[in-house]
Amino acid sequence: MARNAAFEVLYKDYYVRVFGLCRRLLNSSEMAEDAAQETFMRAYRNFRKYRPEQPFWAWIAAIANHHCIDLLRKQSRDPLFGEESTELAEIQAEGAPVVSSLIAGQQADKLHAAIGGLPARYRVPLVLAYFSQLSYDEIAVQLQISRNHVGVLLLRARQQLREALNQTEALT
Amino acid sequence: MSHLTDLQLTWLADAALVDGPDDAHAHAHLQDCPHCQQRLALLQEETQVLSTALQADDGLDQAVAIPPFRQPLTLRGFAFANLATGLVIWAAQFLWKTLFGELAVNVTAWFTSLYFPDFYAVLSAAALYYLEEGTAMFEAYFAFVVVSLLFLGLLWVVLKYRKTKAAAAGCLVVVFAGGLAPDLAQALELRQSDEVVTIAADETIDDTVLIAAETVLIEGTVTGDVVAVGRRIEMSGQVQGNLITFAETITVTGQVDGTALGGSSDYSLRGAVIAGDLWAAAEKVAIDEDSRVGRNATVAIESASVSGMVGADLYAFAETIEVNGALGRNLEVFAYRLRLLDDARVGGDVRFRTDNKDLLHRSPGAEIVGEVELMGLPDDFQERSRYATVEFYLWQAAWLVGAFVTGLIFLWLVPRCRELALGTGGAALKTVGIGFLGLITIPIGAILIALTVVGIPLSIITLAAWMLGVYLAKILVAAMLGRMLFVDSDAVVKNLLVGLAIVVVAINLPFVGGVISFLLTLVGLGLLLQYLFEALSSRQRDPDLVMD
Repeated sequence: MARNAAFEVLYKDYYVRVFGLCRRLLNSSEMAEDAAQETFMRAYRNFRKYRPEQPFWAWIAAIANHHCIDLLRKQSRDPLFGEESTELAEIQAEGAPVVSSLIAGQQADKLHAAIGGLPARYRVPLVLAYFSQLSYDEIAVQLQISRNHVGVLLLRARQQLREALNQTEALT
Repeated sequence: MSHLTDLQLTWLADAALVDGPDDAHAHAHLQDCPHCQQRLALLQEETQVLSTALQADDGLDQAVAIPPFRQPLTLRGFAFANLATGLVIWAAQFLWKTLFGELAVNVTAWFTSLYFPDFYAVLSAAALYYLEEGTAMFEAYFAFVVVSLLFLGLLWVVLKYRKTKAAAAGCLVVVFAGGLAPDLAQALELRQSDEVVTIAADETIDDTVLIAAETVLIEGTVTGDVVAVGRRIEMSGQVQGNLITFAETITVTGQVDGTALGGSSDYSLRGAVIAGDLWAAAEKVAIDEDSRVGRNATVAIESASVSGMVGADLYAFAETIEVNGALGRNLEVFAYRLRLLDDARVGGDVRFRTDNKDLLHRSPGAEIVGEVELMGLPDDFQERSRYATVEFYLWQAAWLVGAFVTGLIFLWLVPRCRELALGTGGAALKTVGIGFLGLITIPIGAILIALTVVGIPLSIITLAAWMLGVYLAKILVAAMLGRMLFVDSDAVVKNLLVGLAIVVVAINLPFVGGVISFLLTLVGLGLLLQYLFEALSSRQRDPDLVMD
């Protein structure tokens, strides 16, 4: 009973954050609701394995990450994160203005829209790096790709974001 | 000199370039290159902006409603769900068959039994009647007493020791002792659809099945019970347990090895074999010539046509009943019109409750092995004094013994109830009012709770508790009367016995007995409810309070 009560409290405290993480990873509120519920179901089933010295957020975020990435993998016909060499070849030359200078004159929701518009292979590492604050090594383990590949995907994500914001800027 | 690439700078901005062979080179270059320094600063700023933007909650706190957490169904939960469902089915079957079914039929039979003016003849006839047919009524009554005592024991455990788990364990013991264990060995299968649920001809289900659908087609074999609810139900397969159905149209053409129980507008047996009893409540019941009911058939209907075979008795509560088949034993009819057609064969007696013998049509070919009795005539029935029948005294004695034993045990378990007393004036009216409210609202509440599937067990427990309360009501009043008579004597046995004797006489007085019985029930139930409220509220005020 005490375990149930403790979990109920954690559920209420962390649901919104878990939902937010799932929504950013999956880019869909409906899917995020289901994913958040599934995340807490898995957490509940494995709650005995949770060690209180570990931050709960890190533990449950890892479960959410795993689940969302599994979902995206199931949706994708091709390897979700592509080939490192292909991505390397697509890296653009330097010189484009960075996101910070582009976002200065725009609304934050434009940035969110641009992130939402990214393909999953760029969006997922971006969210893991800057929302979940995982290191390149941790992201590499979660996505089952090399550390270098993570770096390449993050650079491509930034470049695509810059491009998208540039186009938005040009339209306005 | 070549500058650092965007990839290297991004890694540096994300602090990911650590301890690699390129690391020293990149840092060395960075120290001497203002261009790369400027570029790195911009990328670090970009990292910061991205982190801040993604970390922002987006107003999610306000926008997201936190749904209730759905706990995953554990094996234990699943087992308990099965247990609860089994308990509900078992309790429903027990209550229906033992208490409402057999008791009602037997009580009806007792009320309509023969009257002999000669005392010795009455005595011997009553003894024979009891030996041959009356045992079921007493068994049912004493089963009720036993169940009441079990409930009392559980209530006592809860009140005295606040051991809800012990009470739950007691429930389990009762359930297993009641023979539920073998039933639980089977699992439970649920099937639900807005359209059609079919158990195909080549399908065999080794479970008890609960089905809810617009159309239910049972063509295959079910080794357990089938409980089906829908608009149209057709059973052409085999049910090795009981078949319980509620639908607009129910057609049975297959085989049921247990009891068939159904409620519908149209209930038909066509070439069906029911090995056990048939209980059908419908506007129209038809049992065709190819159908067979192994034991008793009880039909409560607007019109019934029985052309098939009934192994034992046929009880019909109908507007019109038409019999054109073979009955193994008696035909008991509570109907406006009875038609016995040419192919009708009654192995025993025909008892037809009517005040007009012309409403019995008997074709020349109809064969009746026993006698035809036109009985239950309202005038005759009123004229016949029930006090002159031995059944009446047997029944009252049985009630007295049962109530005395139950009352003694109850007062021993809950001694504070020995001191219950009716107040004066407004307090007495309040007690009666509480009793009246309890008598009316508790069953209504229980029925409303039963509308939710999860509430069915709670509803059955509430109804059982209510029945127990009504039963205990007169016993409590009897104990109170005995104590008043003997001026607060502590002799519980004497008080209760004398009080019960007074109550038995009072509730059987001509003309006013019914009213007295009702009032005593209200008083007793009111006292009981007041005691329970007080006991529970004192527990809330002082959780350490141990009730005696």
